[in-house]
Amino acid sequence: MKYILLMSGTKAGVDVYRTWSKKDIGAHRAVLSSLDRELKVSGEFVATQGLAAPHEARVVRGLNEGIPITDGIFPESKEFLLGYWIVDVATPERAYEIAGRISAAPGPGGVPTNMPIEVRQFAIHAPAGTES
Amino acid sequence: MKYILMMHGKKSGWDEYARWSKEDLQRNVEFMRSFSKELHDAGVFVDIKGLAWPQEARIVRAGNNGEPVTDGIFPESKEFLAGYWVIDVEPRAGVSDCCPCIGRARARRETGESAD
Repeated sequence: MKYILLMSGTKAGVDVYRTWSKKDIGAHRAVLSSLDRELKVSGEFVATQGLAAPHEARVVRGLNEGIPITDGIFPESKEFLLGYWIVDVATPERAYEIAGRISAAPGPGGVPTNMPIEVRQFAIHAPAGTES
Repeated sequence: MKYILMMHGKKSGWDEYARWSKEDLQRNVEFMRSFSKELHDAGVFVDIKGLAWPQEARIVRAGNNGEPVTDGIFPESKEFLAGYWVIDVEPRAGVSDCCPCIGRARARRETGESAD
């Protein structure tokens, strides 16, 4: 069963992250890298990806002609996707366990960030276009 | 440059989608299929994924004892990820050309770094 673990945050949250000390960022990344290695050894790792800072985010809608209408104005409360992990696990509980580990990664002063991680299963049926 | 295009919706949107006629669903699927083929042919296609319905979504936080704390209660206004496309296009070109074809989507650039 494949799950995607989504880490989201507000622009304000990203600004705070940027004020972290080099040491705190290093410790945070070290824990997550070690988790990635662990998942690779257990065969549960599929992918992980970080996204660029949300100031470049745009919402795009297409009109009748397919002309893109872009919008870069978001409410301050908007939660942007910051990054994700894709894991292939035997049970949802195992996906929750991995998400808990990500949430426990250290923040400033070594205190766990306790960031909420949204856990979603992939659709069982392939989306249109996957097979082409 | 890689971008992720995210399609979101509320739970009520999923309920509405479930009421679409077979004909409308087929038309939508056909559109997506042909659009994906277009991306393949243009050499910009990287990945596409659809997510399961949000009823099973959980928010997980680390508990004090190392056990994960899960929560499945969300506000009705919560926008859930429905699926995404990853494309690899020339910088600053192509993204907004692709997006309208798949309707409402969020274009975000992937960093090429891991999510930490």
